[in-house]
Amino acid sequence: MSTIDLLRQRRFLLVEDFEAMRTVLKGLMLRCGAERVDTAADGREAVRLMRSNSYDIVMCDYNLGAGKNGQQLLEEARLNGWIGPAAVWLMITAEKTSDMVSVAAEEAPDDYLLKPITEGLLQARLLKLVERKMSLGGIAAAMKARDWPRALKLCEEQLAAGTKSAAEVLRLQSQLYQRVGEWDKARALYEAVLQRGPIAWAKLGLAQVLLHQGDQAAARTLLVDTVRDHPQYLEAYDCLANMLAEQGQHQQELAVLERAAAISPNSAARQSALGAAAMKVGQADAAARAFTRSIKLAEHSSVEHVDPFLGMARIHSEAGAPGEAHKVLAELTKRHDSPKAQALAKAESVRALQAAGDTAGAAKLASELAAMAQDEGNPLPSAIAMRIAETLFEARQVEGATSLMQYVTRNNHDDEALLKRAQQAFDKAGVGAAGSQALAAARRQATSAMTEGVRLMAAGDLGAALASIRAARLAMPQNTRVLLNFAAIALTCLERQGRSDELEAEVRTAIATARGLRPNDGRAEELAGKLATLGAKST
Amino acid sequence: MNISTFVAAAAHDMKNSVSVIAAYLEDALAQLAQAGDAQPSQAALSTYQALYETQRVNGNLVQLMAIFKLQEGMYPFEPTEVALDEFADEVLDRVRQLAKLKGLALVCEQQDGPPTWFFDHDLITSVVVQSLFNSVRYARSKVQLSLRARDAHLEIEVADDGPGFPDFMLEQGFPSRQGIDLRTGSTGLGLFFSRMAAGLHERAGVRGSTGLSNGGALGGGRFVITLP
Repeated sequence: MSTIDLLRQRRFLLVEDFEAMRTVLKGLMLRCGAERVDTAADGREAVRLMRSNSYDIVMCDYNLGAGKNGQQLLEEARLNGWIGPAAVWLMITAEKTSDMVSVAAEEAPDDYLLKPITEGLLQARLLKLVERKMSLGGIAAAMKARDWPRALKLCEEQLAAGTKSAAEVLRLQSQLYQRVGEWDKARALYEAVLQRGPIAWAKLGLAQVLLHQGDQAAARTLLVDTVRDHPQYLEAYDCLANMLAEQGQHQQELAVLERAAAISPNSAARQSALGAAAMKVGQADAAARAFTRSIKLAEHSSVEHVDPFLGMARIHSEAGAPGEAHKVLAELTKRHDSPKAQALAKAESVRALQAAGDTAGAAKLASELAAMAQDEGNPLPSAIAMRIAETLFEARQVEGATSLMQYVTRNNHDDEALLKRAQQAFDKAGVGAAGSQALAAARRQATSAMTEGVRLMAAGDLGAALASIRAARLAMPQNTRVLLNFAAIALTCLERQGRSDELEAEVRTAIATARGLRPNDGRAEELAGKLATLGAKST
Repeated sequence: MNISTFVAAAAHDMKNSVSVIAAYLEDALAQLAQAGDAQPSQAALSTYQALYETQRVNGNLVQLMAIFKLQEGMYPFEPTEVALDEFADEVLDRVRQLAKLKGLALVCEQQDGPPTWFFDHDLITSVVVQSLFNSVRYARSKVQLSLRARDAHLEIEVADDGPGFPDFMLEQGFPSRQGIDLRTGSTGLGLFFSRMAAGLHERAGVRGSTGLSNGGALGGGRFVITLP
């Protein structure tokens, strides 16, 4: 295939608000060999076109006048799947700014093109990007499908074949090693890359590995070095701030986030994090400024930004203005209708009701919320349930909070970090002793349900074992170990007592739920393999 | 508010205008080329000349903005691994048409050079392109870009067979900002910028540098930027 054919077959979208520039750029694209070029004058038109067409290459001006900018448009397009992992996004800009460089690698465009753009430059860059996408496309697709082993295998193949995108492949490969828990391999790779030059992503990756391996001091030194040597690399600030937060050093966490926000003032997520950090050290005014800015910045973004609303509502409640808090929460639920956003808004409403002196109303809403979070058909993820429980404690709704904490504990009885956080919430609410009893009871419930199943199995009463573990699964729908134990016992039943479509479907759902909760659990893979063999044997 | 803030904002706005002018001129050139005359017409020559001037303005604006940001500590300095063959293609492409029009040979010497190097792609592109424009302006018949490794450094050299740099530039090295010579049209901005860009690159305590001389490989002016 000739290089020109490579562009001729592709579908292009050009997004540029300035009409004269649009005409000229379209002309350039046609001369470069493109034949199918659609144009959009703003973000809204671009969204409409991307929803109804499938583009291979999007050329987009960073500044699109009022409304979304090019970066927000890109994030929205990827989030909603309007462009696939193989699509090329080329951002056009008059100058490179900190905001652009500071974008996380996953959210960044494939390349930036500085104006003025000449025909030769555009053609060379497009060909290079299309070729790179073709070589990296397989890896991107495997990563999107969360098929880590396949993605890793493709990385190795690319490197062995001497790819031109070696730096990019190495970055992906090391991330994949981290994802699948091969920390030593990830570390070796980062160290090898750092031998070749002071590369920011490798420093950050190495710091993450060190953190995981428990070497906090070395990680901290490395992160401090990284933000000094690469002041625009904001992911390093975020990692450093997280580490400081976990160590309870909130004043320093705030200082790091302030520096990051000064470099990149237009990130809604970072302003929100800044607000949260300011609240932790009692700087309500600074927090309110950051939250307000975050809400404003997220106005044109379709990415869900719930936290600044929650933070703002909390500030109002604590300042004795619950009416204002309710207004903010109404705006939040109007803008975001996900179950997560709705539930978190309700929890914050409990605080506002309490602040207004409506204790009965607060208690009623709290118990509704505790029931809703544990709803069998549609339970909330543990992390969200935990946050709700923490908010309820702060609003002095101990009963609802305790019920939620027990629910979280039952479902994560082997997650020490989570249990520690739960105990801390009880301690903060002044009910530490009662809390540790409640948590211990919940934990016992989980372990005894599992030992009971195993005991009945050993006694040879398969039917009773299955009934027992099935009941446990109902009580702990998000406990991966219960789910997988259920699958294991059910598979034994199927092997010994013959097949049953109904039970096999149950097993399949249990394994899928467990995989969703903990993607890298080897046991889930093993059981899925068993289930597949079972099907193959009898057909 | 500091005056330099206005200068930076105005530079940004002017750059947008220059981009549009440049794009229109390219468009006009493409249309003239389609007319299909074997020899470039006078209209084409004039348009090329206009395009060249917009490139010079653009280059100056880019450098002004970058210097402003560097001094404010807001320049997104970002060294990445750059494939040198692609880098050479891209920078040469910026001057190729003008060189062709002036009947100049544009050659690239990259033998035994390393395949990649770590530097800030945009900064160094800007430095090398401005230097190439300068050489294309003064060369008699040939401009040469060379990339080579020397003592664990990357040397990027732009040489021509023109009359070379005037003595005052060689003597002063890089003009101080008071020493800007308005008579010759040399503001010293390009050299000031080059030195700044080179100096940002540092490895193991060694910083990048620049050098200017006459009578190099092609007998004319020779500009070298060295990156650690």
